[in-house]
Amino acid sequence: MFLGPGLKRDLSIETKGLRRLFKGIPGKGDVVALDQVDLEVYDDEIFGLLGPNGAGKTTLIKILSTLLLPTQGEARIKGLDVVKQAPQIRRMINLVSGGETPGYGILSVKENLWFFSQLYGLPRDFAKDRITKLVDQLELQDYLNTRMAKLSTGYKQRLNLARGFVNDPALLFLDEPTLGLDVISARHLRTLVKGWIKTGGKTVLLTTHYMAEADQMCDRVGIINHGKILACDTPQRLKTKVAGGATWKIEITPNLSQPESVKSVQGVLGLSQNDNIETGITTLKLVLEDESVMSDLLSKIRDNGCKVLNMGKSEPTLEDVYISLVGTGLEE
Amino acid sequence: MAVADFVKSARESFRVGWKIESNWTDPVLFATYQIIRPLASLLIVAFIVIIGASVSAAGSLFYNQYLAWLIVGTAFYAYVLQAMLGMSLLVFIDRNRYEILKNIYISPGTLHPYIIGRGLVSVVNGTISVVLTLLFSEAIFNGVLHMNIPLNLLGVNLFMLIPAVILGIIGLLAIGYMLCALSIVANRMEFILGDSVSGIFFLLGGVIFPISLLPGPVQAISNVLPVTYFLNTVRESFGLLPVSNYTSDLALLGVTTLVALALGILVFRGAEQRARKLGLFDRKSEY
Repeated sequence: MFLGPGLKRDLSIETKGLRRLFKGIPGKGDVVALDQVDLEVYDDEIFGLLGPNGAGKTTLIKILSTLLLPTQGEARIKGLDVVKQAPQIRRMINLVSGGETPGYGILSVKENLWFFSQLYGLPRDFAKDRITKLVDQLELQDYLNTRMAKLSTGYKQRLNLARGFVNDPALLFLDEPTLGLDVISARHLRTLVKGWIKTGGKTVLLTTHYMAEADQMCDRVGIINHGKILACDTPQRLKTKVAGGATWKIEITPNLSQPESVKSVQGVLGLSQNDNIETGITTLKLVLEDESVMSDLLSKIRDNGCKVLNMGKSEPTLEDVYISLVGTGLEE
Repeated sequence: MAVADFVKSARESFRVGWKIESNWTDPVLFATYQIIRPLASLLIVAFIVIIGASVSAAGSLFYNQYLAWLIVGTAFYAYVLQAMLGMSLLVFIDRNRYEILKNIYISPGTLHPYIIGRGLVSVVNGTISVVLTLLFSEAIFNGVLHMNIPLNLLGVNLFMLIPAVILGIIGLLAIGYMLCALSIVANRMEFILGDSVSGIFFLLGGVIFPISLLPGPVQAISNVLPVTYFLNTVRESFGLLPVSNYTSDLALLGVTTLVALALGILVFRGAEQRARKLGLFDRKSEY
């Protein structure tokens, strides 16, 4: 829940001028993964980080979870420095990375969770209760004594999530947690996270590729590209900012042969195109400064050899915000 | 991290390590695997010695004492082999195959209780190998071949053996700890680290021949290895070396173990810092 400016809340995450460079290909210089990132995430907040591949989302999470050192700048978790006070930070955090299934295949679901509960030094009875609760919430009861290696990908991912919650962390990093998950498992995750944050004193930093997920789950969203935070606010406020312009959905066929020519039309803030292979119809989502550019835009679309099938103005979504800031859709 | 929590983490890591190492197959096959390697290496070396020895030497007091010396050295070398091979591969397997290293690293105890717990699995495996190798040797050389080798398993001085084994194990775990640290930062060296170090200890640690047979400068290296004093003190407890040297050998084992511990901590800190700098805790080898 975002209380808005003026109301003081405890900071869970704070970064100032955070910069991270990686060694690039010889002769090409260093790669800037994070560039002067200033970020504030509060207690009791689900904060979403949206950005394309290579935008710096995972690098930021790795620095905050004490896996990686920053090249420059400061990062604090609950006021503790990630470089100098990592041991104290580790008691309060946990990390779940989507698409990974960390755990020992030869051990059962229960044994894997028990192992992690003991790494966090949880008292025996508390650990047992915690595991039972998590197993129920993630509907893993029938697989409690099943070896992890025998679980399907979706159930392995559920186990991964249960592991992330096992120490009841004050701050949970979810790095694309629904990546590769089936619809039901993804829904379980969202319900679990939203229920958990209500228990109080918790914070979630979530990176995702799914706009609807960010819109639905996050109290605030940061949009990151090329290592820089481009915008940071509640999904509603971000959408309101874009609503000043015009968001349009245009269906065409075939797809654009030269999308850059459409993007370069004066007044086009962003464009994304989604091709439907089955129907052969491409949906363009456009964020425009105003509607006066429409005639130039349509003529450019026709210059691409495309036929306009349908068009209409749409309510701004988080995706439109993203398109207007980054210039392209997240899938591109 | 509180001591109780550290012990709890290490104990659980041991339990998990034991399950991973013993549950991959049925118990009979596991037991066979545990015994076959050390016993095979012992028998190979022993029979080379037996066949290679001159007829006049065979059966002599010196010859039989040397065989007993060789059997005890080779048997206890199982601790070295298990610790070096097991611990050098630990990081690689848990990082690449199980993708679990980074999650263990960001737990309160980081990798320390986990490495110790997993290292102790190597110690248990080593102990099984040592005991079985000694029993089989007694049965084969004295029972079947009637060679009268002075290998009196019941006559071993436990008051001498136990401190030697405990200190030796601590020293080996410290070296294994170093190998874990190195394999966090080393690239594509995981498979040669353990083999190389255990190979060096086999050659220079007085496992199959006395270090006095080595050239002078090489002996200097042998003299700073905990393995050398570990095997000396163990043989002294079996009465195969002058017992009068036991105290000084135990002291030297203690000193070299302390040095290995200090070095282990330093190397680990350096490797941890480098791994955080380069982001290596979740790196996957590209092969």
